[in-house]
Amino acid sequence: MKGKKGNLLAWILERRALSLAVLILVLAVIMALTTTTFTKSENLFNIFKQATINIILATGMTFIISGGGIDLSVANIMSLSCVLTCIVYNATHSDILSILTGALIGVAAGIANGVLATHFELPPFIVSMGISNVCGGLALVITKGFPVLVSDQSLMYKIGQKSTFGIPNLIYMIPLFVAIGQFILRETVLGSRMQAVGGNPVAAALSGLNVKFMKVLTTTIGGLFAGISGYLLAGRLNSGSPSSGGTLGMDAICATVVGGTSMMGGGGDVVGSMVGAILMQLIKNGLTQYEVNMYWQTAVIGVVLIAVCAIDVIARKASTLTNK
Amino acid sequence: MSEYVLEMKGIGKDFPGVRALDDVSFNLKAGEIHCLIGENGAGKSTLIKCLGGIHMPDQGEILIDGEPLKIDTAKVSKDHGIGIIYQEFNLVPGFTIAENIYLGREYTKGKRLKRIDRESMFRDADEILQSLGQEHLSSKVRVYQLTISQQQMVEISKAVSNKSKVIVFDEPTAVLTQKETDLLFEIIARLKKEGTGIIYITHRLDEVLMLADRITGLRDGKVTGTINNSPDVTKDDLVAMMVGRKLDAYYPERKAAPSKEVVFEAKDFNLSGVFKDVNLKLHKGEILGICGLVGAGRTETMKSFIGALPHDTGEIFVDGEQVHKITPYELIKHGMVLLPEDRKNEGLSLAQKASTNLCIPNYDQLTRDKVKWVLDHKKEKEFVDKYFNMLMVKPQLPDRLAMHFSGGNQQKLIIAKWMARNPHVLIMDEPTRGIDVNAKADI
Repeated sequence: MKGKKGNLLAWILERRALSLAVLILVLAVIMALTTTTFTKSENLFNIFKQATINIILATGMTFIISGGGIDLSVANIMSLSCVLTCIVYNATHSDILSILTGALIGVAAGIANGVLATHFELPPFIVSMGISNVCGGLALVITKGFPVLVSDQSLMYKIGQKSTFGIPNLIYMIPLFVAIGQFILRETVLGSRMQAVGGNPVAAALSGLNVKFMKVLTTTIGGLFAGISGYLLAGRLNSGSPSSGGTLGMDAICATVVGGTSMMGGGGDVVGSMVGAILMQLIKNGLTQYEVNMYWQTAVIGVVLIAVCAIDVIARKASTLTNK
Repeated sequence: MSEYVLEMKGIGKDFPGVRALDDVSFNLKAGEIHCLIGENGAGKSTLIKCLGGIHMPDQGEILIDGEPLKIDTAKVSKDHGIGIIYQEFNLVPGFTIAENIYLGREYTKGKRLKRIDRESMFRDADEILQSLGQEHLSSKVRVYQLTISQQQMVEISKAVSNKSKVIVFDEPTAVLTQKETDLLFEIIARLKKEGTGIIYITHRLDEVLMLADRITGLRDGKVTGTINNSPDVTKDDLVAMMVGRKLDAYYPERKAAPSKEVVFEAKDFNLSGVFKDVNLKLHKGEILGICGLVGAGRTETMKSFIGALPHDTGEIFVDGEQVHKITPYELIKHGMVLLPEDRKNEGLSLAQKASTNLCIPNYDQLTRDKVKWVLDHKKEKEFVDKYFNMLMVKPQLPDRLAMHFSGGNQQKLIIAKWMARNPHVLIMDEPTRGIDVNAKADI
């Protein structure tokens, strides 16, 4: 066995969410002490409001990646949902129908992703890219490229634009969806099996698990969360924009990986992804506080992603017990 | 109750072009260690996979406790108390030991909303580890942190926790150190005492003589005999059961006598823990056979000669000239090539055309005469046709993907691509493994 160094690294690896949270606190304290604007409640709310969509997308992405897959389509699923939930509300004035529309679009796209990848054995990378283009294209066709109006009578408007007890309603969505996701992934047998399939499909099959079904389930859950994100995004932007998804899909993958879910599948949890998303948002916010040109944000996030990934690989190697 | 916990009767299994198992009968009593021996490709693994629900036998039946059972999935096999520890472990690296042991049979708590009960899983898994003498191992440790031997313990724990009546060990000691091996034997003895039937597959004949109650030999998919182990049984008896084939008529006559000229020499080749002080001379026109049991280091030594594996110390001479940088690139330039043992992964690019595979190492010869960095497709075509004919590759369809050729013809493709380089030294590692008789004769 290796010495204490290996054990310490293993300990940190085990508690990824905690160690990232400590990092977030340290960064936050530094920013609070060195800037005047950071600690203003408006700024703090902003960080969480902007992170909300990414967190919910990353919640779904955690299922997909820890299930051994990858999904490039969530951003455009979200765009399509964003547009259609608005249209359905404007036509029916029913919040329930509007939410259901978003959820159904997500589930349908997720099932398509999963079934094409497992039953037809197409590579998930390509399949999800195709589904992404289909969804993004449909959003543009339906709206002819123009944003759809959000009614101020709708629930999505109230969630996206109003506050309760002084806290923006959108922020309440974070604990709600993270708790749901974390419970399914970590506390149910099904969630544990999805991760087993991601970690070693052969072992999972030999243990009698239905590997294909589990894989489809992960993409379906990922799609569902993307569909719901679309609904919330329409409220936050106060507009059903057909190109609202943008690069948010990549941000979700980024948050998931930074949060401790291995691209090899089989590990990670939703709380980690949430913390990862908050860290990314904090870094972006910090760069703004220090008046760094906002175009630097993307580049910095890229460096953070690679650095976290590298630490991961090194720590994993160091923490492996050996006889030597 | 039947005398046997497990009976396999008249098992037959066909794969395209190969009869992998032919009328194989095998049985196992409770508390017995039954060793299964045979060469590579004799059908041991196929037989075990029939037991594990990975393959379905084409003929024959399997009885558990005297009851016929159709094993068509891994779950059926597991549910009827068969635990198989394959050579390649089947564990989820990111999961804890306990989660791996109970994968597919997770504990739950709560009535309406069933939650996974990790605490109970940890408790019971720790108990199992303890019963195997692994008190020092916590079941909360994740599998990627374990040594190979510890991972094997997890596999054994899986089988034990499933109340397996039959546990199969497929080459369990191939990856273990001596100390770990002793520990494993202790555990096997304990399982045997508790009445578990054990099927033990190995190439190591000492282990067979030490452990076995009975021994069954397999050769070319057929049973060569089942004997009771006793002090009178010798290694020679076992070898006869494994390889006692007649000198087959299809071996070609040896015509050319080797000359005195040395074409290849390895001096004091060492790789710590793998091979030691290898000195070897090969003469022009000579066929030098290199033999040894699995794990003896044959493949590794040959790969090191060509630079595909590292070595600690040693020198290589080709045609009397020392090769200073031992890399595949340099050695191929010196006219030395290797036909790897793992044909499908190391010998060919399966998803590419047969013709492309032939050309890959030979593009330097297939360029336009004047512009050396542009390929000449006409030359390529002539080249491919020439070698396809020369080696009688069947079918004669160079545009087919390499994966669609049979094993024997894939081997011919590999030979063809190296023939074109006109090698002085050709190393063939198990070139006829898993190949039908005719293709063997051609090779």
